[in-house]
Amino acid sequence: MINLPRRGLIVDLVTPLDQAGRLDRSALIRLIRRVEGEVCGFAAGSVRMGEGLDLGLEVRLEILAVLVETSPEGATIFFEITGTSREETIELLERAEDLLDPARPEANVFYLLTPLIYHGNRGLPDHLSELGRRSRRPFLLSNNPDLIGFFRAKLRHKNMRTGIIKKMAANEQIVGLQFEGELDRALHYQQALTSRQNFRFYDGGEDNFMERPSSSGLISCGANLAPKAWADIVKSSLNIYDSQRLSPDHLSHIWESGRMVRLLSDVYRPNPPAYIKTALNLMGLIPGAVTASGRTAPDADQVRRIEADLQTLGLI
Amino acid sequence: MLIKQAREVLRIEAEGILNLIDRIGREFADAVDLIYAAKGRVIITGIGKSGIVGRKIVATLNSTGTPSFFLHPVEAMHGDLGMVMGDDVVLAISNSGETMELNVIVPVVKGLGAKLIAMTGDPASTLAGYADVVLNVGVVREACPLGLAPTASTTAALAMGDALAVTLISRRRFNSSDFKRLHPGGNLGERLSVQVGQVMITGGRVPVVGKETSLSEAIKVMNTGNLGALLVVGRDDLLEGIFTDGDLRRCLVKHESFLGLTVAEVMTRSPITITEDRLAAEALEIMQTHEVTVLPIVDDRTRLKGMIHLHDLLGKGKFRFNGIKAAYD
Repeated sequence: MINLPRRGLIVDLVTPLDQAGRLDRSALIRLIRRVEGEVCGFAAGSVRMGEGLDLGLEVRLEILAVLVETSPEGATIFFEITGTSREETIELLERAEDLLDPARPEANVFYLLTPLIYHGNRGLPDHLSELGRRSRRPFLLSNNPDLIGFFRAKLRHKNMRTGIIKKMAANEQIVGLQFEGELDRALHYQQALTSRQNFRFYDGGEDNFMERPSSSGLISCGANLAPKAWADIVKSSLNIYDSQRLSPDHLSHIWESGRMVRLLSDVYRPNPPAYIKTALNLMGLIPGAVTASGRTAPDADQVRRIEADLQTLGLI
Repeated sequence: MLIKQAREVLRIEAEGILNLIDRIGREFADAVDLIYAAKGRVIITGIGKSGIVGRKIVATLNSTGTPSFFLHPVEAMHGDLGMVMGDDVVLAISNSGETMELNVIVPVVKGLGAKLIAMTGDPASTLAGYADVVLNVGVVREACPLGLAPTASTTAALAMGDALAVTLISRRRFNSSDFKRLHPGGNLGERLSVQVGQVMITGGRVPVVGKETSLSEAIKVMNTGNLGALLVVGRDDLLEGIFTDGDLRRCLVKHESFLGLTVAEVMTRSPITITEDRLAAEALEIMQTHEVTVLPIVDDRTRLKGMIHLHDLLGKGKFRFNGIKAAYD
């Protein structure tokens, strides 16, 4: 039986690096420990937040190893296997399989894949089947038109087509979707997936989640900085607070948390991985704010602005 | 902006309900069977907005012939679980399926022997794990910012509750008379909620003759009464029979002449009756079941007390039988 990822808040972890560009294991462990009480899972080495495509294969695997060793029992782990090509993706998948205990496919590791980074819509279901033959673990697809636009500006279709989603839904090994994009597309995907009783539909976009929350949960960048506030909002949106909701204090708390995370997202919106690392550095949680090659670090003025905003929000 | 947002909300909620359609299957049929077969009541429980949805489902079930009441989970923890019996069916509503107050009481409910139906958005939840039947009312997306209030999920639960109630109507062959009996709030219901004694015709307005009355005389009395029937009484006003328009038609076919015939020879003996302390709604139900338009009202010794016509209950022109038979025809 295919395992399902947990519903709730998943933190899309940044990848702390040392000055030489190696994984800062102790900083990563510190980040995991800081958020583990609030989240139900971790996305690791993601293309969006973990700078996966800019990291070497060994660094990506090391992130996975640290997470498997460190994360609390039962936590969901989304490990991004997307490479810049089909071959690179398959290589990372096979190396991850070697690293993970193949005898325990039920462990909570799910392979996160943003296939349009290196593959068109045509033939995508077959490609997923091809990946599925190399692993018994479940997959979570990621649809993120902005990210695809960043990496493949000339690609015509920056979203997975609804018909393709419908075909892929027949593959039980695909257990969920991380979605960013327009509401119309979300509703079309939803219709395409009605045949699946157990399918997770996570929001990737924090703004969208705050307006029209998906009932599977959120894969959040901001949870690196404010895990408690995000956890409260996600629990509220998933109706986990059936009884607490009756209290007016609870509603005002959620309202305030919502205001706070909106302001916070304005702080890192220009370049989330780099700005969040800077913020974490200013908060004393990671020793530096080194980003993988190709990511623009904030300049001195921007750092001062981030620091001022964090002070306003009471985070430093 | 407001219009767009409102339309989005409605689309999200509509999609939430549409997605339930494909989930209606074996589990739903099992839930209906469980409720239909239950000797006890349907007890609905839930907290917060789920509780409000539960109360509405209770009202719908009660209105449509399924005895039901709401049990607040917190009150249940503090003694109200005593209201649950082994032959009841408990319908627990929780979108997350992890509502602490519910998950405290459901093991006790199971221990009492009651059957449990879980209406939840997560079939893998703790609540679902306890349930005999799980109704998956999960929606993909809510329509309210920050989850300040559940929206599409409560709409979906409400719609599923309606689906249960309506299918139970068919299953129970619940009819319009049942509905009227259970709805004393409307104009019609108000009329039907009183006792027969309060609406029956009495005294000189009741067309009555003795057993030995000639048929010709009886027809005159029946015509004067304008009720399409007359009652035949014996000593001490004991009801002996009823003579109706239908009896008259049969008489015309059977006998060439009325001369020499008495009403006792052509009347219907032992007519269907009702006592004056019964509800008008029950009188209506009897009339509908037996397809008659008048009922004699008697006491416990079958002494005549009055008479009631369908029009006294429903008003003229508001009711007709689907069948082809007329009064005692």
